Amino acid sequence: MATVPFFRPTPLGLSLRPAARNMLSALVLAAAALLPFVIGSDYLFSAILVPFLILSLAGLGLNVLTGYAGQLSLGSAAFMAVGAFATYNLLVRLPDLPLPAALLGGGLVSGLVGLGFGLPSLRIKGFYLIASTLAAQFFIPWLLSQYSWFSNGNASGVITAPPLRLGPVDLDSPAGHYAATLAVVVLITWMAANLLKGPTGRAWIAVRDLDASAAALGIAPGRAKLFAFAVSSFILGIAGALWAFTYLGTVEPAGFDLDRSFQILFIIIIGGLGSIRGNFLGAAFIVLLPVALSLAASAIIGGNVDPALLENIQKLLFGALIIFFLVTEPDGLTQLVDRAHRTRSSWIGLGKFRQQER
Amino acid sequence: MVYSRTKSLFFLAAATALVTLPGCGRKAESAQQQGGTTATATGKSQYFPLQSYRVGPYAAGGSGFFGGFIDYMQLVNANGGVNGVPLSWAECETEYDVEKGVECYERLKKSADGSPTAATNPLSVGIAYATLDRSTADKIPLITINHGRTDSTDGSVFPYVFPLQLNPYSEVSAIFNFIGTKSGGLDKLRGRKIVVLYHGSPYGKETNRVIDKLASRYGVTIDKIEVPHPGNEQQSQWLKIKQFAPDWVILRGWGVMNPVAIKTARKVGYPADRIIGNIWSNSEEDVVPAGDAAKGFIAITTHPSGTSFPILQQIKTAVIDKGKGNLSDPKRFGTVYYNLGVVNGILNVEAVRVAQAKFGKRALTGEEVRWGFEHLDIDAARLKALGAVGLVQPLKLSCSDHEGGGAVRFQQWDGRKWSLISDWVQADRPFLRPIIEESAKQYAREKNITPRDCTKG
Repeated sequence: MATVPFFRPTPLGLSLRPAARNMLSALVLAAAALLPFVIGSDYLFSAILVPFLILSLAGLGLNVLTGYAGQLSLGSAAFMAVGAFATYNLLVRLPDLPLPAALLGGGLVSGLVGLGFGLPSLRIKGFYLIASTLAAQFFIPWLLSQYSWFSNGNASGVITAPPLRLGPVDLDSPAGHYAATLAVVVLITWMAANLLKGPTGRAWIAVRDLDASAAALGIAPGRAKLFAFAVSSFILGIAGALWAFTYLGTVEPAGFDLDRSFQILFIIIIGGLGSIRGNFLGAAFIVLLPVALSLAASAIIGGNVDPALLENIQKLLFGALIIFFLVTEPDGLTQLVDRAHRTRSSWIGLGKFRQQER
Repeated sequence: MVYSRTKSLFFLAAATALVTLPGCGRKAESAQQQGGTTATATGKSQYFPLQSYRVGPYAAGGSGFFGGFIDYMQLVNANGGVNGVPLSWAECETEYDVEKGVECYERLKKSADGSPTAATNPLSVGIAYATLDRSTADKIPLITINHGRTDSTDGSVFPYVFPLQLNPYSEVSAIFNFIGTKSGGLDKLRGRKIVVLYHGSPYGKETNRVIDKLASRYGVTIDKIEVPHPGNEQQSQWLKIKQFAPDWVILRGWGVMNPVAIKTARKVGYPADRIIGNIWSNSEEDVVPAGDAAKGFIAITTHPSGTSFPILQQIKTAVIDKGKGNLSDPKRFGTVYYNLGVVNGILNVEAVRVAQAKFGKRALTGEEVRWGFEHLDIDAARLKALGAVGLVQPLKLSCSDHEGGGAVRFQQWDGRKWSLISDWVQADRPFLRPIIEESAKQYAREKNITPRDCTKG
């Protein structure tokens, strides 16, 4: 306001020059690759970082569909389940298949299934499309638990991850799981970012903003939507496979229920629709905040209060924080970071404020 | 909207704090309260991480079980610990949720003061499945009393997993044997109709395959009907049951599903004394909310409820009467879940005692406690010394048998309390053993495990 008279709200503004931006990403990446191994503990790896990365990836999957291509979906968890069970079956039935190939295969199967459930999007939009993706959410876990073939005949319908190996390297340790997850997440995020920057991403945004005018520009909205469904489900499938293999080590169809779909939807709403960074911020909020609250609660008042009461207080606090952030920043945490960044950059002269093209 | 610099900075700071706080988890954790006695002559206690749950649809089971477990450990500490080694514990809320359970496992597996970890007791099949590999890798025994993964009974493939007392297969087999007795012999079962109403979770589905095998063995017609978690709406399932008109319904429920099942049965007119609750449908919390409809309802149990056992009287004097009891509602003292917690405490502590006899009277590592579990041998004399005759069944474990007992008693709800209506009914363990071994073998193949040779002791 008065203190920053030159400030103008620019919804999708970039505050750093591209070179500085690239350097920053490289720095974050290097930190993610090295730092945990220096200070890391099993707890940090397998209870914090791995689920955070996987849910960020799942958020990216849904964001491609919802944030960029504008198609609403409540079936994210179902596609994760397809990816997890497909990868599992590939690994169990073809033991010689290397892990990356099985992951890719799981993702492709999930992409195909997503393509199928995306067909209604050719005709319907908005809330009606939610209803049809909801069908996937109920049908797929039912199918997977109904036929024990999918879980290789396990009595309780639970699949257990076979040992994870990449050539001669044994990945079956918390640090190995983290390394594998990080590599996959970085690779997929990089590929998705390139896709979104290119003509495909622009076509999706055009369809999202108004499909009639996109058609007038020579974009085939139907094809763009279906491709978005396929890419989104592919990414979700990979996330699901990682969830089963590098995080829990075991998974049941009910682990991919509607609650999980909502969780992913909240990640992208809180993090920011139509943003790659937003997925990571949103996942941080959803995964890390409850853990932070629980650790803080037990450190500060633990032992003096009835544990059940303590737990309910945390839930109330978490809910209140979600509402607080959504009210103060409806465009998501990514906008918050952008804004703070811009203010600070112009303040200490790190970067030059750039006017956005739009 | 226009934002001021201060406001932006405030948000940034808030967001950073939020992200960095869990990263400092290890530090916060050491400040975390560790229950029980921690200061000893050697500075070490025997530590139990407790993945408990006191909120959510299964809170009754969690708070009762962990209440009994903690109160028993308090009693042991009040009596000077296990041969002078005190017990300590820390709690983490899982809400019966698998991801939270894994987080809690990793958070608590090492104690704050460096005391070695004895065993984990998550009381959830889902969490047990998810932490099975971790427990084996970390060399911490995973105890799944009265539940768990059935094939983990085969200790040659699952060295660190112990479905103590009663695995899910034994449970159904014992119920079939009971129904057989009621019908005048197992051969009279031919042509009868039984419905299994099960909880839609790994726990609920665990027995489906063996039920089919038992059904074809005895010539029983079976219908298995699933109730989706958490199970507070069962109208359609019970209408289907009514139509099928079975001789018996086996209720494989959990938490809120149980009273709802009993109430809905009354609504559609199915008699309560034809419903047999399994081991997780057998508590006061399962029948009291159903009110009158529960009168006559039958359930199996490995341990009766009640407060008359000497061990419970000791807990009453040393813990409850001093205001240190863990239950927020003291009226639940002596209920089924609470007593199961006490039984679980007894078995865990006995394993530590057995292992101490071999490795020395000090705080033991999980690996050493594992040996103790595997060599548990609780006979009638030991039960008498413990003051737990009738509460715990005689139990003898070995390398190849991580279950031990496999017997249950049947109890009936009279509207106010449970009364026992049968003696110990044994499961057909020789019939179940090959099924368990086959399943364990398949697991070993999938995971590239070479089973231990149990003939070498």
